[in-house]
Amino acid sequence: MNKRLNRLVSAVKNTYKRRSIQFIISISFSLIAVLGVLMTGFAMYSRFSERLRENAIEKDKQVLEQVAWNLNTYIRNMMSVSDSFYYSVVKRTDLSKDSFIGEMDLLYEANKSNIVSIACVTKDGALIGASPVSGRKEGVDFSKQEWFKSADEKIADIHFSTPHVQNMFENSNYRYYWVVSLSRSVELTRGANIQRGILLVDMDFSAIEQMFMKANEGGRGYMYLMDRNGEIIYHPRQRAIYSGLISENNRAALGYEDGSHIENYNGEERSVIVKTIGYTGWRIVSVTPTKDLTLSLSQTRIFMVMILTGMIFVVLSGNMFISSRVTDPLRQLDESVKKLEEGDLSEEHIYVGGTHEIMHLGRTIRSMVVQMRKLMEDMVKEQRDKRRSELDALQSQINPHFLYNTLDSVIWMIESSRYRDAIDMVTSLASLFRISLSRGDNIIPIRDEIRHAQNYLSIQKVRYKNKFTSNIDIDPAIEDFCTIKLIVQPLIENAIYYGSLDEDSEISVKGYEKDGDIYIEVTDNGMGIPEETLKTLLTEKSRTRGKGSGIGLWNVNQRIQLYFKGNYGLEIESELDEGTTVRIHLPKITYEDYKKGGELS
Amino acid sequence: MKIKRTPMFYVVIVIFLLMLIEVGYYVNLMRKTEPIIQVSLIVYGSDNRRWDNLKQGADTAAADMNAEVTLITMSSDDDPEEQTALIRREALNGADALLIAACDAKAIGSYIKNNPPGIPYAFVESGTGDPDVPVTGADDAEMAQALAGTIDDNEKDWIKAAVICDHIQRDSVRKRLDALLNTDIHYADDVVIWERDEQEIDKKAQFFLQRKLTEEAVDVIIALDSGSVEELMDATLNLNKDIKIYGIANSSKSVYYVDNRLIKSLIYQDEFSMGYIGLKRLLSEREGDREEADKYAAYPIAYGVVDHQNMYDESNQRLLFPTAR
Repeated sequence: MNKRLNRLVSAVKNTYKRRSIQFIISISFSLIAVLGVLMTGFAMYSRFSERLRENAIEKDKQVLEQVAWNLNTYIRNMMSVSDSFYYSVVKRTDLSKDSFIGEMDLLYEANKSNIVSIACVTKDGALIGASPVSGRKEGVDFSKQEWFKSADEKIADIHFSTPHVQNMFENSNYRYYWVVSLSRSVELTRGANIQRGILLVDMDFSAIEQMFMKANEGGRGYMYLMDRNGEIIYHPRQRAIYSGLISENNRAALGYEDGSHIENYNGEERSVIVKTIGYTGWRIVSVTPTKDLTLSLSQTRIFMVMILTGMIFVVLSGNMFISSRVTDPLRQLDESVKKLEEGDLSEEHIYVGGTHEIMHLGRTIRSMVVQMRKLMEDMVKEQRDKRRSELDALQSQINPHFLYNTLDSVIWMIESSRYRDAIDMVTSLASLFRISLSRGDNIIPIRDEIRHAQNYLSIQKVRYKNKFTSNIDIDPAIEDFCTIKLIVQPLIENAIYYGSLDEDSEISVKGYEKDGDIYIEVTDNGMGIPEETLKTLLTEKSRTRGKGSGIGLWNVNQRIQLYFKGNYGLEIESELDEGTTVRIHLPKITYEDYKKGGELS
Repeated sequence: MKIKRTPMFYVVIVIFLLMLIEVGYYVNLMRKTEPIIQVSLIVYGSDNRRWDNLKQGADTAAADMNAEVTLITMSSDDDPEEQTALIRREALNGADALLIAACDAKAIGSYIKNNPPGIPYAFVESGTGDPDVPVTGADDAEMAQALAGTIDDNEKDWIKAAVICDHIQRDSVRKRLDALLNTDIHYADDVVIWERDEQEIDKKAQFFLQRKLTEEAVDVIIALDSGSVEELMDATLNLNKDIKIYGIANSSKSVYYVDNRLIKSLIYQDEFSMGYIGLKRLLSEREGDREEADKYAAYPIAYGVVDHQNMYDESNQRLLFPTAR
């Protein structure tokens, strides 16, 4: 289990590692937010549904309390009617001399909206008086009626009957009244005799019925009324119960204490609230199927789901927007840095935007790029300058060796009294140095370079006692084109030093134009260069100091390429025992143009 | 420029669509109310109160089944043309079902057969005589036999009985009459039939009965429906004749006459149950719930034999006197 969990955790971690910052932010925040929303939603729903149920029961209780209060008031009123008539009228009336019919009529008139009739009978069942005035039905024996018997049995109490159709007085228009009879035993005064009688107040059942009908209107459940024995007094579907079409759980409800109960009846769970009405012992029972208590909950549930979905939508959209706002600049900056890695050093490609921090980061990177590029340019320039300096230094190395040898030859000439030759040699040397100086310019016309080579050859011929012959053949058309100074002389020097000079040795210098470029060739007919040596001549390895001035072919080649770039430089052809030709390849740039523009490439 | 969509974008779109579906469902749910089934209860006669019990029963059943019952009476007692016109009108006016108390079994049966109303229908109290057309009511033959038995119990001496043969176009009355005439119970030594001939058919039954009462001496008169009972009572009120009246009726007026001992004994149907069961059966059939419909079809509609002595018994007073509504 732990292994699985660990694997899951590491899989999640790996997934996270591989994902973009936007994905991580949006997914993490969204999950947390959605979880929070769902938990809040479920907690609210749970609380709400419970509250709804409690409220529904509470509301039913309130309605029931209200009905109970109304019913109690109604019954109290009826009892008051009975009490007041008994104590204020019956007890004070001597029936041997007087009658209370008038008071009875008055009382009936005052309460006729709730009373069907008032009557007073003797204990033998003889009618003393009734209101409203109507004929007693033929054959009706009061003493056999339930209300009479109840009052006669328990003389101290006030008795309430179950609803029944009144059956004592003649009715007109075929009307019959359902009544609840309130009866009590009373003392009737006839002169000196006191005899018992029964006072009857028939309460109009429709008043009770109306009371419950109003309470039952539009409710989720219904209320019914039963007496202390469980007999139904009122039920909204009373006739259906009487006809046996439906049934009610009134017998079980009789055993309930006042308050809320849950019962299961005919396969249906019902919330039952019971309330007992004081004096009568009647019980009001409110019945609501529990599914109806939360009837509106299904709508609420859908509404909640809708709200939760809306909240999740807002949260996810917000997360997506915010994460893109935060991470898009980072992503763009990342792409800029990738371009930078690929070598694009242009600072305008570095993204600067987004939040303050990212903008600052972009500006910093852009500033770094600018500095980096400047540093690189400086470095390149420095390297170039360094190389030039090195080459210039190499170039300047010609002077001490050559000067020493030349001066040594001049000394030798003077010692041998060859003054004319010494003068010519010194003159050539002076000319050589003059061209070498060239007012500090490295670029000179080909004419000067060739003159320089001639001077050098003159000096060397003296030194080598004319052991070799030389020939210079320069196309006059190329004499005004540019060359780097002191590139021909080292080639002649090499030809002299490595050519194994003898009497037949010849060094020729040839200059010409071909295919728009300038070529100057230095050819000797010496021993030639071995092939393996030939391969390394223009490489770094050839930079070894040997005999001669120390200016190698590599240096000449480097100088040409440094100044002219492109495919310019030296080309060497050599065959053993045949000789060597070193060809200088130069661009065709007039010295005049060079002086005007100063650019060689 | 191609915009790169993240998975989260698609999740948000899905949730948005889900939200739209939920809103649609919720709005639909809020609007959704079960349409109330409109049932027209077309009865014969013009007296609304005569049908109070039946209507109360139908209303009680309707409350269970999201239905509403409209009582439609006629301007006359037994005009089949008017009743067929009412059937046609109610069907056209959008009633969802018809509950009919047929005023004329033959005429209404023929009309219904030839012009089916296109909506479910059933009969209460009095049908068409066609065994295939459902009718809910107490067993008429049984009631007639119960009435004969009551007469037999009450009248010990030699008697001559007259049976009012009116409204026999109604299936219920015809069945009662047939059962009464064919019963084995010896309820009278001599039975005469009082039936209006063609000349008197358009005259008030009360005048016909008064003539018969003066012309022919009988001990017992039997009326087989509420209309006949009331017409008979109207006819006898001022004649001061000692005649014992027995009947099958359901009107409050007839109950009143029992209470006043003018009617010796009355067979009274449980019309509340008749309305309740009739409607349940009709709507069960409309919903295609055959099992439920059969259950209601088998439910026996009760009737009571009431007289002055027992009419206030608990069970009878519940049957005879509709509670205030």
